[in-house]
Amino acid sequence: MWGLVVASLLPFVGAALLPFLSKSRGDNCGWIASGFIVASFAAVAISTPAVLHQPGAIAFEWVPSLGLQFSIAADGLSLAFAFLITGVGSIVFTFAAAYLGPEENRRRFFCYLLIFAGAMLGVVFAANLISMFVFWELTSVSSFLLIGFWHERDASRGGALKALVITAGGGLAMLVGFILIGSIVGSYEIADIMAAREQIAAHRWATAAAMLIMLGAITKSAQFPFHSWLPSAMEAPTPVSAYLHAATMVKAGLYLVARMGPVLSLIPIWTPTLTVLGIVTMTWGSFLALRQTDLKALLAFSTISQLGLIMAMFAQNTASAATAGVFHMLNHGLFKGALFLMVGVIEHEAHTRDLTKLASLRSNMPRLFAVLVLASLSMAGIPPMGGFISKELFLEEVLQMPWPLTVIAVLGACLTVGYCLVLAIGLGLTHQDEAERKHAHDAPTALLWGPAVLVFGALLLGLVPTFLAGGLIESAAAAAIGGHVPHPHLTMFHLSPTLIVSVAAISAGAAVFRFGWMRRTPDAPKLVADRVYEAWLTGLEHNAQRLTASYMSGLLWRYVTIIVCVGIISMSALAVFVGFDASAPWGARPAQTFEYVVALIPIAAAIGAVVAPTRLAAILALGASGFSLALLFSLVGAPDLALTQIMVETVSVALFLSAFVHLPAYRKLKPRKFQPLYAAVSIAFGVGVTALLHHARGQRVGGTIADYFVENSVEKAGGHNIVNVILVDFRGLDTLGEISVLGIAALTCYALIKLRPERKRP
Amino acid sequence: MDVPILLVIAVTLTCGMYMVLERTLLRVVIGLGLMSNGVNLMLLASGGLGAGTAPILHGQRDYGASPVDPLPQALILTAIVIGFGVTALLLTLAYRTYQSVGSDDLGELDGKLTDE
Repeated sequence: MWGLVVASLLPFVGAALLPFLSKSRGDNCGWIASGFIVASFAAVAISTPAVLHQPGAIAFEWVPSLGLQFSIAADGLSLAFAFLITGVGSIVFTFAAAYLGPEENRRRFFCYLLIFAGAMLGVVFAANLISMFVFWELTSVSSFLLIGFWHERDASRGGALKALVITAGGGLAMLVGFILIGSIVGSYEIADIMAAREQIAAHRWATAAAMLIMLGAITKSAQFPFHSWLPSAMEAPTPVSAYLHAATMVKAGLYLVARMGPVLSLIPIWTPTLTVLGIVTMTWGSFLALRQTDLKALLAFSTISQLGLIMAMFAQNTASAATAGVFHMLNHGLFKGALFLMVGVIEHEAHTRDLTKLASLRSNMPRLFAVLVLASLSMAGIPPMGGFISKELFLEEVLQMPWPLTVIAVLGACLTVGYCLVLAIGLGLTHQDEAERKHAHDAPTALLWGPAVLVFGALLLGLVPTFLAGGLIESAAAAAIGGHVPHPHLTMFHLSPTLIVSVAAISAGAAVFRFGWMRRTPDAPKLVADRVYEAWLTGLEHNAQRLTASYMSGLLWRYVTIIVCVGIISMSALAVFVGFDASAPWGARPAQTFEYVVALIPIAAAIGAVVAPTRLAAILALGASGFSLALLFSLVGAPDLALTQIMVETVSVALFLSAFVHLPAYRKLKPRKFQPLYAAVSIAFGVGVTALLHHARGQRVGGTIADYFVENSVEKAGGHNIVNVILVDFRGLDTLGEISVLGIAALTCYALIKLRPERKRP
Repeated sequence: MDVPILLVIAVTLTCGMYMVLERTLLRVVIGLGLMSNGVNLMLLASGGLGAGTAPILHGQRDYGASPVDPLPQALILTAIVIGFGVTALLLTLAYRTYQSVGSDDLGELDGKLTDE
């Protein structure tokens, strides 16, 4: 188990160390990063026998107060994905080291790539739904950064944004689903959830939780109708497309379906919905793949299609279907990774990936063409490649489905053969002229050996599947259905109805290629899903702008009105729900008549300030309010406050008077009108705050900290006036701070008056 | 004594807010001054007004018959002084704004300062 902990940590460590280990220009980054990922692969490989024998788990405390722990668990399913992540990763990293030009920022590239690899391992080894979600979103973020690697291109940024919006949005839906499950079970540990699956299925939130988690899975795995982000993600550098968008990240959704399958397939809506979505995605994706002229777009749609196939298999939650799913997933990781890398090589050498412009690869790049044909055969499901066996297993499952699904799936299989033939034959046969032949040269070995190794793996999976991966597939399928799975008998040679369907599909596919592709339209049509996404995005932007503009008026009084109204409404709501407490005493003694009379002075002064016709009158009214406040202070036993208030008020009236000389008279232009709306807001504010104050006075709990000051004033500070002692002794530092604030204010005033930029008079 | 004080608070805050909601810069500053008066009274009232004996000790701990909470008074004293600082700064800003823009109408200020 500890080997797997090391394997998951290595990429993160590598990403952190990369800037320090690499040379100044980052030339050797690729090889250092490859070293980390190969080491990770080795750690996974070493741990495999022990884990297959006995799945295990390790837990660390993470946020104990929330009951969260960081736990790692490993079984066959995790390992199957981990092999793809680190194995295909090793190839892709070394390929990218040779592929990226010297002018690219390799350090950034490999840093992102390592973070992605670590996050992906985190997803598959997480034994806790919350930590799985964290890593899940980390893969979305690193995918965003990698798709947008060439950030100076518009299309890259758009594709990166689209991928992030769709996958991270789905991830958030998934989080809500996780939280629903967690609140049903009372734990986020996957092991606890497995144990409580009957309880979950019987709960009334079960369907909602299943739908939300499904949303996470189908957005991540680019299933219909969320498939449109994957073709746009092809703006990424080709190694990224091979790694994230073919071999690993898009399979996270499959992993989720497989991992949660034993629990969620008990909920009736799960299996039918996912099966239909998967089959529809498979056929629709392969149909669209046939219509592409860009090689990478063709591969993107074929990936969508293949993911649909695997999704449909994992959704069944039966032993045979899960076996088919795991096996095809391994196959797909190998051949699709290889295909993407080879498209990268083709683009590198021929400077185009347009199918209509590419010259004959058979004569120009014979070695590359051979590898390409083998990979395409595996995708088409033609012997002797591994894809043949997995396609047979798939057809076997499909033949047991309701007949409309069978028809759609077989159609999808035919179309798949069709677009594979485009790759295998179409590229080999196209016409070329003599000028191109001179320029063309075969791919360099440094770029070719990676895809070749992957395709060799796919070939071995076809020739000796049981020997190579039997144990792994058995264990993975068992984990995916949460039960026992018989040891798979994967063999090339068999006689069954599926073989007939297979042969028929291959022949029909050949016909599709011959009569369909040869006459296809040159321009790929725009996806409906893309149009919906773009309309949504522009609509969102437009409406957000309008909404913001409607309240960001730049007018002070509107802002204040909004703030005050929100405050009043929320406090009123609180008063309704919590209840208003008017029981506070109205003072230690009843007010005397002369006190009412005294209180009339500040009231009259405040009203006078509002209605004053001139500036001078308003300033004097404000002064009257301040001085009468001093009178009130002296009446309630606050002589210090009264003295301070008198001093400050004197100075501020003087200040106002000196300032108003420089300010214009009140609206010389027109007399101010009474504003009923603002008056209402002001009254609501004044009354509301006073009511809040009265409510608060009834809520005192415990004693007052003033007792401490009363006790110690003479003894510790040697002063009898407690207010003074608090200010200059107990809270002396606060007073120092206050003096500093005044000093800063004074300096600012001076600067505002004296300093001004030199202005050029025209 | 609490009822008149609460009345003063309500009226002062209402008038202060009404002036803050106006367009003339000087009136907004005056409104803020009124509001800070009202808030100072609020602080005092929140502590409970007692019988009006000043928090001054006569003996070691002898505090008279009906003590007044000294803590809000210390807070208000700070608030009065800081309020003065704020008023001074606002007035200077108003003066400087009028000098630069030539208007004290808040409705006309939007966007003008950036063009300067």
